[in-house]
Amino acid sequence: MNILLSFIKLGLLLFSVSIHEFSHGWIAYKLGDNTAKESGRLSLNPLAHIDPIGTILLPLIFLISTNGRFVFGAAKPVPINYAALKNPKRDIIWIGLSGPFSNFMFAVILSFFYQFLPRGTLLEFIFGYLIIINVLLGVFNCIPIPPLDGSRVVMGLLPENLAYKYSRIEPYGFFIIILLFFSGILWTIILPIVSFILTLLSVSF
Amino acid sequence: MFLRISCKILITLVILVCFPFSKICLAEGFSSFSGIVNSENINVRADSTVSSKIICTVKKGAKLEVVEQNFQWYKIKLPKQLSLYVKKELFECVTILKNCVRAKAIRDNINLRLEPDSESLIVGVINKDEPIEVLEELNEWYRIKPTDNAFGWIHAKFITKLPTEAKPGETELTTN
Repeated sequence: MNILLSFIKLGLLLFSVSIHEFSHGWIAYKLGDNTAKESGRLSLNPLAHIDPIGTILLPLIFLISTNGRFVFGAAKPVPINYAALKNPKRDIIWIGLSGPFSNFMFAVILSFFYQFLPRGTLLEFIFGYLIIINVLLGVFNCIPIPPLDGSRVVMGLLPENLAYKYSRIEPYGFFIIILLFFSGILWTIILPIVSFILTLLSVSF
Repeated sequence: MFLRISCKILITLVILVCFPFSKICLAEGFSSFSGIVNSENINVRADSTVSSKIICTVKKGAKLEVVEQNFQWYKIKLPKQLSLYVKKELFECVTILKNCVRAKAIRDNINLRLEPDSESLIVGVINKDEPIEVLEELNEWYRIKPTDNAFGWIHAKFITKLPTEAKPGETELTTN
């Protein structure tokens, strides 16, 4: 296990989730909600977004159990005050989408530069890894299970009564996700999507 | 008279200095270029003869990088859409999603094969620490994207050279 590479991967994950959370806060701010800005989340500084369990413990568990080959984690969710939004039902869709969108956009930009990097160098490894992790984060967050971003989009699209019933899942959402993740069902769903997007990014070379 | 003598000396000196450089430039011969396949379903072969094994076919309009020439044949980097195979045991997996997505070679001179078979055609070589992009994990093999050291041959008449921009500072002493 290459310890240096593992730390680099952890750092790259941290950076990627920071971009994700920042974009949530930024869109919310643009739509009238200051909460994220007030609590200092409108920053690309990774330290502002670290959640001890999701951003440190969980990734470390993954790194150690896969000998440094796989890392995944989450940041502290950005606080949103829906009452401060002009049109909460519509705005929540934008806020939800902005997270995965930022990750996908970042991956696209990286892919453009990646094709010019000489293979085998550290820079090429970093760019390549960032692309993979950002596509993974983007797809994962689109899953429509609360508290993931996909569910926010769903709730914004559903009529009031259904949205309410849907939001009742939230306390259990986490456990559902964990169950799906470790049973492999989640992978079966998102891996083909992730692979497809990665192939698309490569084909654009 | 005085001026003419020093002019001749100067000219002679200039020629003497430039001559070895021009020799080097002319002898350099081939510089790689990009080309487009100008006909449908053209064979990419293992060697520069029509009797050599076919590696794959390329479609009309495909962009290829030509690295060498042998009479009427161009040596090209194999297209990134092609799948090639290497033995898993010769690589150390560096990044996984569910299966390995990136690995690096643990020794020199690893054969890059056309099929997941130890008897299959070798189309390139991978050396120690070189990274590979893994597309699929099989029992004993990785299906991977071609590296920059995977080559095939295609008949020159099927390639239309793409115009290149001259790099600043380079003088074109070769003729193409």
